[in-house]
Amino acid sequence: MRAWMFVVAMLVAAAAPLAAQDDDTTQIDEDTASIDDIDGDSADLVRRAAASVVASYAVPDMPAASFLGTTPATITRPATARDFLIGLASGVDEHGDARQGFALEASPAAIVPGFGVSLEHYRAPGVNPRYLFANLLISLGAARAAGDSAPTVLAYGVRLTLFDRGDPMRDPAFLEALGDSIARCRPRMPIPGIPRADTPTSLDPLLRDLLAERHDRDVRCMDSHTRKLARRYARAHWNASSVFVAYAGGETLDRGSFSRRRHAGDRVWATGAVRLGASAQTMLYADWTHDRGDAAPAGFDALSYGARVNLGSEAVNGFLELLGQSRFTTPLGVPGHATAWSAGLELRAAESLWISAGLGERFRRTATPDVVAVLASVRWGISLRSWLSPLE
Amino acid sequence: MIAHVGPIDSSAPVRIQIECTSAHAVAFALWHRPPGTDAWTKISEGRTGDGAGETYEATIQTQPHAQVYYWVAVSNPAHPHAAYHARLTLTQRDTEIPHGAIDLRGTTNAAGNDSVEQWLDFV
Repeated sequence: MRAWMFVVAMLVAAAAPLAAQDDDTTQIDEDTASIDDIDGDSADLVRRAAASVVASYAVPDMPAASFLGTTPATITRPATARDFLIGLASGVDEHGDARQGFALEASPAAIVPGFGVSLEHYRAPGVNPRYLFANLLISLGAARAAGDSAPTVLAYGVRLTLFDRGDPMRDPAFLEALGDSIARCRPRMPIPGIPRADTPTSLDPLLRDLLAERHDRDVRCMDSHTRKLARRYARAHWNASSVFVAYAGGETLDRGSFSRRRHAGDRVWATGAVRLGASAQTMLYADWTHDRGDAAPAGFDALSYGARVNLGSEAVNGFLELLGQSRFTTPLGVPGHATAWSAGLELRAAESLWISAGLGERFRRTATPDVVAVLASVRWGISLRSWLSPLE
Repeated sequence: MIAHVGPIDSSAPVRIQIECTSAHAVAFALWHRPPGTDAWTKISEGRTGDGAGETYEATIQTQPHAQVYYWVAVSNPAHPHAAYHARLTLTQRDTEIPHGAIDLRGTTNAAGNDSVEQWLDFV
């Protein structure tokens, strides 16, 4: 209740200066548009792009898919080196060309024999190369733009966690609770009907079904317990310090052929968070894009960045952020640099449902939050997730 | 596929080690059934955080045609869809029994969990 009153008070206080930044309420006379207006519109585009790029202050889970701008329907995640090779082979069709729609993600620590990282090694304090290796993820993907003659783009990426104080798998108290949680799902007895060893044994269909049924029941039980545990941990560590980096590159394959390829570009992401006491956090984001385009004049480089301060708790947050984008090798008359700011409040109304209110670029467009309502010039956003919640 | 482990020497105890070589929390249970009987007896259980360390052990006095049933669960909610690797190693007199290394490999689900249960026959 107090949180709601706080939100309403903030909105009333903010209503007066809102018009100063909200361009939507300003009528532009096209006949009198000047060079300054054109520059302003271009800068507005850059600001919007910055707000769109800096959507979550997180590096992508699968950089190759982000490079392609796709969400793969199916991702192959090999558990062994053999599965990895089979997965790679599935990305090539019978003519030796790249198969579009292919997506693969793998952890080298899991697939390279002898390089597994146990929990004990993962938890070792200090500079820990095994921790870095265990958190290294590689990804591959291929997609084709609309149209039969469009080339296929093959993307490759890596994602690395350099540092994460919010990683529950390094917290002994969490691990004890996790071990206890999954142990609660332990079966009381083996499945019935197992033939004795001194009789001819085989895994008949009935036993196979019983094992599958038991497996599903046990995993559902574990999911229920561990999700609650992980959610509680994420909320308690919402402002933990961390550093993540990711890279993705791509090759344009004419008609899917590896022999007719051209480098499509590169993209690098980096995010950092610094815990400030018990109830605040600073977040930093940088995203560099090098796009070679279809031809030389269409290529560009862009750096998007954001800095944000969050103040509050896992359920109610006030934030202030500065977003920016610098574009290099832009045509004459197009601004190469623009910044935007936002400030506001986020309130967790229910599980995975957030109410946002505030001022600035974030609240000018309907891209984020998912739904925006305007009430007395104040923009309210209803979002399915917070920009602050890494695990939700 | 049921693992046939052995031949074993019935005069020496069999030691079963369970170890997870990926960064997952583990819980397990082991049951034993002597030859010619229908009843299973739990011989060991454990979990991450129970103070037993990262490698779990159980020792049984057994003989050919006995069976061991195992349930092993792994969890890492911070890394869903991750490959895991756990291993059961059966030894006698500090020597691995023929076919006594059983690899449990797979990929966890969206919540970061998976479990394996199966039995093995001693020969």
